[in-house]
Amino acid sequence: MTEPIIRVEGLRKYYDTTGGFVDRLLGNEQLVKAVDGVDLELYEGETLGIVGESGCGKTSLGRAMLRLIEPTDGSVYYHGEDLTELSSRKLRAVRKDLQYIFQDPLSSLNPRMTVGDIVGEPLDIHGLASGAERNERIYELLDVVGLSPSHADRYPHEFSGGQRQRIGIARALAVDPEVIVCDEPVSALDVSVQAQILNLLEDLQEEFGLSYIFIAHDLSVVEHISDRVAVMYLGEIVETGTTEEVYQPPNHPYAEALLSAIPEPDPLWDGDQILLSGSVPSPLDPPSGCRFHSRCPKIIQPDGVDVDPSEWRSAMNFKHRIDDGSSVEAVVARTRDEDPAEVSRERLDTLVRSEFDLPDRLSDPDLETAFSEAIDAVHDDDLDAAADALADRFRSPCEAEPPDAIDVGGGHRIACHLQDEQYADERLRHADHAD
Amino acid sequence: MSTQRGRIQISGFDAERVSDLEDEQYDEQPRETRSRWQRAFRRFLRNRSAVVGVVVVTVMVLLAVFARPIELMGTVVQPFALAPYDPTTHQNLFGTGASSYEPPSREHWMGTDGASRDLFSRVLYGGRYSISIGFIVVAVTASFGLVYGGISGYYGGWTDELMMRIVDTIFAFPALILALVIIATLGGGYWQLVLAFSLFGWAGYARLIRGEVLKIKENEYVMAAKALGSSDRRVIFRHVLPNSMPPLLVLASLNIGTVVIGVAALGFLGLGMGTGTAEWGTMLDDTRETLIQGPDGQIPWWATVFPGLAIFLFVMSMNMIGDGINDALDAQETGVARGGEGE
Amino acid sequence: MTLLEVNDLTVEFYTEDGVVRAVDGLSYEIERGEKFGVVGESGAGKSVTALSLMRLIESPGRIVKGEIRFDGTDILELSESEVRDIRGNRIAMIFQDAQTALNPVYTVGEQIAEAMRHHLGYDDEEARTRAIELLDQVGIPEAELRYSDYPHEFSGGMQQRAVIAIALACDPDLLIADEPTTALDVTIEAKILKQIEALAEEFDTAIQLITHDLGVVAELCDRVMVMYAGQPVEKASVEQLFYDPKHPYTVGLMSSIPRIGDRRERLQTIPGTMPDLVEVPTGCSFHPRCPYAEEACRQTEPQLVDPDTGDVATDAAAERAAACLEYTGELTGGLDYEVTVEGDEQLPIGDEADD
Repeated sequence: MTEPIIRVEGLRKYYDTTGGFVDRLLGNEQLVKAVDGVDLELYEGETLGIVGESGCGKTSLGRAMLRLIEPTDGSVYYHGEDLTELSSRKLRAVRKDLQYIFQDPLSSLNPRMTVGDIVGEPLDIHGLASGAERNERIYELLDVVGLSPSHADRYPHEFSGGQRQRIGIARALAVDPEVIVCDEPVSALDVSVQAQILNLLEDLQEEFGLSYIFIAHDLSVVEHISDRVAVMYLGEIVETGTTEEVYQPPNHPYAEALLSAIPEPDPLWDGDQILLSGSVPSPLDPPSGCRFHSRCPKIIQPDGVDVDPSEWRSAMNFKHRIDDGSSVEAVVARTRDEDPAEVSRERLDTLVRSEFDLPDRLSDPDLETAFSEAIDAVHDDDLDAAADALADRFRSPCEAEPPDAIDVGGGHRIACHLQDEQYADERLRHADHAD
Repeated sequence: MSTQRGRIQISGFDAERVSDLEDEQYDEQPRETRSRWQRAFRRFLRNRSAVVGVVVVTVMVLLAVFARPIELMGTVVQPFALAPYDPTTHQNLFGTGASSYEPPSREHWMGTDGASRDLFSRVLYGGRYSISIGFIVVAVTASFGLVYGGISGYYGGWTDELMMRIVDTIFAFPALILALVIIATLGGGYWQLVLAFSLFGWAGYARLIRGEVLKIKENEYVMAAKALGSSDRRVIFRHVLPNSMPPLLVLASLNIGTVVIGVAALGFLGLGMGTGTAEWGTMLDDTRETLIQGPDGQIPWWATVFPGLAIFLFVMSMNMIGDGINDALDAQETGVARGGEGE
Repeated sequence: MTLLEVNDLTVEFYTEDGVVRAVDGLSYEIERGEKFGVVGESGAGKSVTALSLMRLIESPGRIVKGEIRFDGTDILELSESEVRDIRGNRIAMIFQDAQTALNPVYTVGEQIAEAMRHHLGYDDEEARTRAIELLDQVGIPEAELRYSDYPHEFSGGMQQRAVIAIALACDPDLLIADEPTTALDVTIEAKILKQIEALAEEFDTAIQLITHDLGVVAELCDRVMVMYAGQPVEKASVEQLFYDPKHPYTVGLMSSIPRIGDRRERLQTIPGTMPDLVEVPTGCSFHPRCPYAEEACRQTEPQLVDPDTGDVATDAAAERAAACLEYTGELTGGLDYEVTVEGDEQLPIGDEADD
């Protein structure tokens, strides 16, 4: 394979949200791990899509890559040169080749500058053109993105969303870049305008030989425009591969859930949507091991346990609730008729099972024993004891070890224990279950 | 029912075919382009009280300038004299022979003061001190505050921490007390007054601009400028500061009035210009005792009312202008229509 | 029986640039328990329509004409206090931005209970228990504890759930959901949509769903109305709309969305943008962007007609209607788009060829 234009190695971006300097002195540091050890390659002329839900760190990744925000750690090699090591003067010169398009076309255009000045600014900064030549170039750029030269004297507020995004694109093109990072360039736009901008980006790529990093949360858009795709979850990349590979099994369970959840514009479509339990954990304190384990429907069962995957998921949910909770009410909600802190041991048992969707008896006797002990403890309002009772049986290798990215063929990498030969049996279980 | 995605295919909706109809209709509509400032200016003009304020202030400034001739280094640069008398002439000795505290009359429209000087002339002329101090102080403090707040907000971190603690310290004292201390130390006089109000008066601007800069810094166009390779200086002067001007303008226009009041207050306390100067506050001070008990048991109301009215008119008008600017710049784009035309 | 009947609703806004007709001659009806979708891009007048139903149009806007019959009574004729009785009680609304829809200084539970105390006259204890139940029903774990949390302590998805709980608190007959999932991630969106659907079923609530997302419409709605520049351009059942669209704008919308599994190299777009409502184009307002536009389209404003018969179908009860001159025989070139559905020959709708 050819040398990538951009190679990202172990990139990290932590935000310090520590309250004040007193907390800092006391060592109460709170770090949001927005990007946590990302490796990526971008090859010439391709579009690399980065998808993930809000808060997964994809925007931070795009910005840290171009050093628009200072990365905490890691390297970004552009033609073999490490951007993170460059002096600010050299970096400014490199900016000519690496450009960025923003999500919100209005807030990324200075409201006090005319469109001509906005598009002309990069020309001034890098001394690329002046006087009549500068105007000529501005008109040319406006024409390229589908605006008329007469628009040059107007202000950003006089344009519609799509036109503003075109202005942003013209500005990025002014320096004749090699790579453009597009951060959600169409998510603020209407459906029909979104398609126009996507087509424009594709045309420009062909015409100027651009390489794109395309950051978006909309998987259908990413599928349409990308050659390769990286899926992010909580600051880490969980799957990378060509678009075909990523949009077909085998998948990381997160990517699989994400793909299944897209609403299909077809009223008679009846695909299975995987509904993930819980919400995205805080990046302040991401889960141990595999970061997705707290929501993963395919969380691995320990040696000696063999139950239905959904039962295991429910069991683990119960365990997490006990671990995080402080009282009985945290485990089972109070209703109009019943206060779980008051009910009998048997009633509590029923309530818990229905709350967590657990069967009347867990299918594994050892699990059932541990579960009953835990319920006893909950009934006595002793959640620590309940947690201890569960600690031994209710555990998964996914909680312990962070998975490595495993190549499943042709550069398609999945960071999931299920792809590890060690857990081949688990894969079979899910394959059986799917049938 | 199917579980396959992307089943529906639509063909034949060919955008290329959209005829030239569109171009005729939409492109090149001659349409006036207006900058934000121009739009704000239009809104300002529609605000009646603000326009009245502008008229009053302009008239007062012109009257002050043309009250008496101005000489600069021996040459007369402004020959007009709208004021009927020299504001320092004692009329009982050298003029019309009017005694002190003469009520308003044909000859002396606003009467005379305790030293039998013509009040009308003095009120006109007095604008020179109050108004010019107001404008100079605001120009000095606003510019310094702009730079100070700009640096503090843009660089942030420890720089910001330190610079803002200094501002906090200044804010710990009432502005008038600080000015009083300076005048008490340096003595009264025109430039002393300017210094007294400028030395600490910038703190408010600094704090305002810092907040504004912090807000603007979050705008993506600042990051966009960095992404293009702009230097810090360029980012600050082309992108950040121009966008923080509107609130600065509002504060400055309101502040002129405050300074004029402050000058008058010091004058009233006998701490402004030298006694007998035709400055509005000092004029009030000169006739202060008459407020309670005038000569011959009569209260010469004109001696205090007219200078007071001048202060009131000016400050009131400046406030109306300030509010007008505020409304003009703040007004959100109204309407549900988007400014969209054919792409 | 018809729950909501909107007849010839017209809303105007008076702006600096002139009069904007945000909604123009809109008629539709919603049956009890029905899920009705309103689709369009920004500026189509969807949200204004929704606010009109609650009579929440404020200056500079004004409802200039039309009637809104809710359960037989015209909302526009009611007094202010009678309307307040309906709002939040019989018609409830879910907003796009849950964060701003919740009041940050009250706890989430308090905001749910408030509506019930106000409209249903519950006492504090009743309202509290019912609020906790609702929180639990909309899928918020540890509902009891979460009752006393403030909105900022909720994640985006949970905030939207809380807003849904508030909307359902008084068991409304009609739920207006204005882009309820646009601000959410797909995995949460899927869950919320399922939830809305299940709750609507359980509470027997009719839904008016306002969205630009055709995927969401396909998933949730029974019938759909497509709006363009303040006017309805097509009304149909959801199957008809997706498998047999009649208005060129609908066709354009559907061809410009990228779909998973779609192998097209380029998207077919609708050129241009929604017109400025101050200066709506003459004739058919869509004609400047329409590939099938002819001279007639510039001259004549098309009415909603039955696409099969060409009969006028502007009344609220019309089930199937499209506003295109094609169906009154005034176009010479015809509409030559084609919709194909892979692998499914047996479509549940009468599928006649588009000529």
